[in-house]
Amino acid sequence: MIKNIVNQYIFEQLMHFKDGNRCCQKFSGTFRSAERTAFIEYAYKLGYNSRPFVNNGIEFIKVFKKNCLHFVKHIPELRLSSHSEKELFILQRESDFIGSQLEMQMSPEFFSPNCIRPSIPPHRFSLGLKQSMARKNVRGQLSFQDNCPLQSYKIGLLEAIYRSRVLIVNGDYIFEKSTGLPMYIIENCAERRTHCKIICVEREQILAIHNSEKLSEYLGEKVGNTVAFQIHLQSRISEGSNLIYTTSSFLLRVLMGQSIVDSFRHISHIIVNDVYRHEAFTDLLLSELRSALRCHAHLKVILLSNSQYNLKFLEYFGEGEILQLECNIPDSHKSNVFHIEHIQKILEKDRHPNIRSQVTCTNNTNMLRLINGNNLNVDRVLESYEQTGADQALETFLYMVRSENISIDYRHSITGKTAIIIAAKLGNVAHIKLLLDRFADPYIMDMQNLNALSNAMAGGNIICIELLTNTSNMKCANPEDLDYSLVMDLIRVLMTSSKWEPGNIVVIVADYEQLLRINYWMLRCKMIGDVPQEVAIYMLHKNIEKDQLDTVIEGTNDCINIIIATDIIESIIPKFLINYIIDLARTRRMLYNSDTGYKELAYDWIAAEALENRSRLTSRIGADVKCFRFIPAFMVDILPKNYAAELLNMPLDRVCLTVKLLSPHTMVSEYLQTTISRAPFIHIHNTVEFLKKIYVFDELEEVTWLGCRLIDVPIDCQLGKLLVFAILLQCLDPVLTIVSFLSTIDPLQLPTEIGNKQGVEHLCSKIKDERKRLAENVLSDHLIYLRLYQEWQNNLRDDNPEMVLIDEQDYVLNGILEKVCDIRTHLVGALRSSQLIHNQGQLSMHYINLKSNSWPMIKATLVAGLYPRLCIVDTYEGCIKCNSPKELAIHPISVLGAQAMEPLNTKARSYPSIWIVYGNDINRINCNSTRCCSLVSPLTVAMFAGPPKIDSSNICNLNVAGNYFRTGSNIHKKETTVAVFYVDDWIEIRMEHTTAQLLLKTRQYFYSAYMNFLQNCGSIDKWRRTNSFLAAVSRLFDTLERVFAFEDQACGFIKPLNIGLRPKAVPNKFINSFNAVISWNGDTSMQRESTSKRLDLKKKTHTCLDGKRDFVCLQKQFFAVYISQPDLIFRKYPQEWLRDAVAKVVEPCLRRDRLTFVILYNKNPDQFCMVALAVKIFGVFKLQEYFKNKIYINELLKICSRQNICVPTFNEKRNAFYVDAAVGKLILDLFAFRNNWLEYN
Amino acid sequence: MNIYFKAETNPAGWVADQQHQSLIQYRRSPFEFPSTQYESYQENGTKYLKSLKPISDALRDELNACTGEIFLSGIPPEIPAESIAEIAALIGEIYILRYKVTFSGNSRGFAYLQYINPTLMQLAIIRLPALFRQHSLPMIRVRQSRNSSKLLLKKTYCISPQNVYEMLRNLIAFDKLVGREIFPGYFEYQIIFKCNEEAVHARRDLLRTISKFGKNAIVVWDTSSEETDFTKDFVRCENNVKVETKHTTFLLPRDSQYSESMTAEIGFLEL
Repeated sequence: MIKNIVNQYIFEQLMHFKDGNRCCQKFSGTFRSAERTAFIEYAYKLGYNSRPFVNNGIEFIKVFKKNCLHFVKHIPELRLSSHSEKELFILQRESDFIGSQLEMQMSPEFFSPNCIRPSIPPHRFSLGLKQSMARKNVRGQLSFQDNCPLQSYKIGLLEAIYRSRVLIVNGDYIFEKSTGLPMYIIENCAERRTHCKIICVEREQILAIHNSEKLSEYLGEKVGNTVAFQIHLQSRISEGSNLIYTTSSFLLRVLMGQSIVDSFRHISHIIVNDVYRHEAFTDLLLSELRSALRCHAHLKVILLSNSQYNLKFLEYFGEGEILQLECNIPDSHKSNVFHIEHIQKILEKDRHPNIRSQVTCTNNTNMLRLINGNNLNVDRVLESYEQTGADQALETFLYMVRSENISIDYRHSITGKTAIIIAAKLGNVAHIKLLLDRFADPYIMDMQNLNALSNAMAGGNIICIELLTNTSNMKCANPEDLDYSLVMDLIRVLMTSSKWEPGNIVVIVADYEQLLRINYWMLRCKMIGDVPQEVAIYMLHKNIEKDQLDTVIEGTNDCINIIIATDIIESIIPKFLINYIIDLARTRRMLYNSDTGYKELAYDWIAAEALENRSRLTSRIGADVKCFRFIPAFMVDILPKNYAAELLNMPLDRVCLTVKLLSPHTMVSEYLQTTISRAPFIHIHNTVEFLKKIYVFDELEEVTWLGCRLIDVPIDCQLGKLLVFAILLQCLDPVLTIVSFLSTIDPLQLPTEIGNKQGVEHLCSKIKDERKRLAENVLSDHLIYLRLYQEWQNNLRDDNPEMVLIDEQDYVLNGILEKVCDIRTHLVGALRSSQLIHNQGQLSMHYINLKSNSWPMIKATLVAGLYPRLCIVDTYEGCIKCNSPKELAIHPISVLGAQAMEPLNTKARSYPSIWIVYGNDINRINCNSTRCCSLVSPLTVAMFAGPPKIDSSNICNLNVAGNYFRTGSNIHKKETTVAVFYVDDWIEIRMEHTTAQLLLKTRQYFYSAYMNFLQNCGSIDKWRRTNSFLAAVSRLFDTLERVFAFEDQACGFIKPLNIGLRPKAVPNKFINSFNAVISWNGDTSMQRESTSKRLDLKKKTHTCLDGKRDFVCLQKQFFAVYISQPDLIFRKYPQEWLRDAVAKVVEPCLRRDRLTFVILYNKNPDQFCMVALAVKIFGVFKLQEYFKNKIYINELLKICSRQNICVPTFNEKRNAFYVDAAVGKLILDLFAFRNNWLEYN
Repeated sequence: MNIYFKAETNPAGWVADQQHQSLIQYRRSPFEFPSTQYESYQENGTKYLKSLKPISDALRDELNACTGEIFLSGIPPEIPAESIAEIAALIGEIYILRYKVTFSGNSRGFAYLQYINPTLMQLAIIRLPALFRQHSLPMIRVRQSRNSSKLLLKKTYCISPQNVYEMLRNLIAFDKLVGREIFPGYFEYQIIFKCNEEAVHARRDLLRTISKFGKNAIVVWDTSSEETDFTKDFVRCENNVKVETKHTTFLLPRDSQYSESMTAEIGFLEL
């Protein structure tokens, strides 16, 4: 009877599962073993795969549907080599082996020894927040208020603050609200003789420092007296400070671990700047402030905004008022805004005749692509799409677009057809829509001069035609696509054309990478003399140092200042007048997709309101600014009106951790419902589950010690965890480098800019070769990063940095590497301050790098730190199996996927192991693709993957019969049974029973050391001297190092050398100094000779009075110089003989109204190797190196013969001679535009 | 110097009897905020208690150059700077206490102390341990600070002293440059700064661009005793460089491993 019911029930369950859309399901462990067999039988009848499973002593049955991607048919095996078994055995025989005392039952005490609950180390405002009387400083206040644009609102503001507890002040950037307002409050408090402690929350750290310095200067004090700042790791503050600048994340950190009542006790005012941007931590802060207002009746909250939508803040707080600051914008403002259509018109009218000559040259060679294997593949895909018209064929093409950076407008190398032409021909509306959504260009002609539209017309499908005609201008509506040459042309026209008054320019870019690119283009433009020489170029982003910021704000007199800035420019007002704003209207943010769980760094348009705000960016009230937006006018109306809240789509891991620590007793999802912008629930849920998995939270969503430590390491939780393991396993240096790379842009990414197609394919293959070279056959992408960094540092060590440009890729690479270096330094500081690293003792830099040279150890660390990101190469089915909801594939730029199109099952057989640990995954159409993969040995997985708490119930003996399983408890068979080790609910590894026991004990030993480290790293004394515990632990690590090395050897991994070279912490500021070198620099400028200096000075004052000045491009002249030793010239340039020879010929021809370029070439092989500018500084002749590369003379000859230009002979006999301007220009362009356009072959 | 030694005036058995008596208990400490005699402020990882008393420029320069600096170590985390200052003030008037703290405001275990009268250092090194013991802080160790305001630039082959001087002047602001010719044509340079803080920052700047001075160039702290006898023989490069070639004895190599206290000086940001 019961049996019938059970069978009925099981059958029902399975049928339910069958109809559902899940691909596999875990059936609960409440069944008895007989029922489990029934499950297996029924599942077998349905044709499903099933597998028993043990987790924490509870048994499950997992049933997989036919095509389930999570099912691994053959349980991966682990066979230890005899050496490693011996090592592990010896370790466990040691008298002080912890695991030997008792079978570790993983009691609750294991996770908090001595029952200390995880608690977060408190952060406090230094010197405590004590009450402090406001002091009068009449002179300081006067000198400040004289120029303060807020002056006319002063009384109104103070009254409003007095009236209401919550005040929202809305006004433009130009008012500098976050400096003016607190000063008024201080003055007012001083008059009334009251206490005053103002916390002013800025958006970025650099702004907090900048503002506090600015105000202190007005007050005639040092920073840290009346006005102070304190941010993460930096402070300048005293107990008497009345105004403290900080950032929202730091303020939140201070609030953690203490009650709201305590933390706001002595604070009188809190000013939060830029609330309208809805940055994640600002939103969290608002929620905290709201609860603070409940307990502190006299706390004043002042929100500064610059938006039309401020009512929701009032609604959120339920009280308060809004104060509007009016800025009289001249009526002409609207007419001063130009969109991309206007810009194109302006350029056509004003375009310098030779501006785009090089681009036109390239157009006719557009079809002559480098044919490589990859193109053949894309051709094949397009062909199959044309033949079948199947969805799948298009999908294959689209994922190649995404992952391989094939252009969406890729043209078949023979027929010239693009995907959209084929789709139009097939008349498939859905496909056309899909392609148009991805900004395919319907106007490209194929070889028969037909475009998509004409094809659609031929097909006669009306909907297709409508679709294609309606999306006329979509091409420029893609935020990913930016035509850098258009930006440059605009700048050139603004500077040289007589229709535009020359003036200072601000270029607002999306992110650091774009900033580097624009900077490169700008530098090149200046260097080849396309713009006047009187140009100073500055970069501005949130990570620059304070002194650099000061130079940017100062600017250079008597020349055109160009600031290339990220959106931080909106909060910084330079001292010089801004005449033009070039707004690229893009932003780049890390986005999280909750369906697939992938993160993506994507370009997007900024909000309409942000566009408005940027166009009003001035340095003086009422000044007239012309704004150029690189966005089509029709797009502006479609854009969202106000700023998108970060909480809605950013990765939430740090937010969840912060929330948990802010209020430990509420659920994260509950708390996040009280914020002003609410993160989607599913998104929070996923993140919390993920954090549980990597053990930042425990099963009950309580924060663990790991979570408490990670909050002070400003990086993704997962990467933070990786660092913790690296410290513990004593290989910090290499892992730190890898982490720094993972947390920023991949420097060896395939180029993304579609606008700049010419050299993309050439560049792609170049980057792939570079990756291959750096990887040294090791089958790891992480090694590439290490080698890249090492190489870069070695080059730096050489000699004086060479101030030359090679090509755009090289420049961007340098910029990113500098950023990586910065991140690295910053992370070390953070680790130190959170006491994960100590200055002396067992956790000092020396000890935690003892095993840096062991690549197997580093791989093991990667497994431990990146744990849920593990996958298996299934050699039988030829695909990748993993535990994520979507299918995984290896990204083609990975060294593992170098020949991506080749089926995996043939290639993977040669891999030494089937386990892959991966760094990040990016989305594809139907599967995620992984980047940064490393192949790791199975032992590392068994040792480090999974939760820290695993006991013997996760090991299950396997009957010799093979396909039938029982639990460990009721098996009493032969000694040498095979067991399955269930690491988590997906990873299972088959091994011998003895091996499993050995591993389990070592594992428990390791994790008890791990818990001890996390809990006790705060008390330095415990680590200072070697005690018996530390000695035992270090013996464990030594054993692990040896064992991993044995295993790697047994599997057949290649061992790279010199992994652990300690890098120097000496960032070379190549990028910044390059700008300084190239920029116009009044006194030491190149064209000025010492004799005429006085004259010039006179002239300068004269022109300043005029206020206007003409800037003109200079004429160019060229000389060619033969050098015999090409390699030497790169290192030890000025060789005396060369200088003499050059000087004799070139010097007499130097003229102040000409740019004189010297081209160096040599004849073995025949190539040009450098372009330099000849200058005279204070009467001394000098060659300033500009471009360096290898360009074959043949290349030039070919182009010249095509364009009918006669070429001088470049041979050894002529030392130095004059070159015709046309040829010279051509060579110069060849150097300057390397890889930005197609080579002429 | 007029110093009041409270501990000295008491009878010998005083220590044992009144071990737990706190001197701070009933009167307001001059170090507590707000104070008219001392200013307290914090910069990064250092809390300063500095005298507001006007002193002569010469004395200040001398003090800034680390004269009479005392190094206190082994301070328990929860002890505030003020109580250390209280105890130290029993020996003489404090010029500055540089108290190293964590982000939570707890002690990082060490501090630097200077009296307005630098000659008090010797006395303090003897007396302070006893005083700390009296105040139940026996774990605090006292010794002379090894901080210095001098750096040593070595292994700059093939660069003439004039060039080194020029390059250094462009890079950092230093007070004095002393070049020593160790053997013919090979110089070591002692860079002297006004104060330790300047030296610390200059060292960081210098390290960044150390490769300018040649592949193997290194910068180390110069901990040789104050005015060495060698200096007579060395060429001083103050305003204009004159290089005489004189053969001097080879200097003894110094500890390459510099004391931790020095690196910690910069605070958290140092790598």
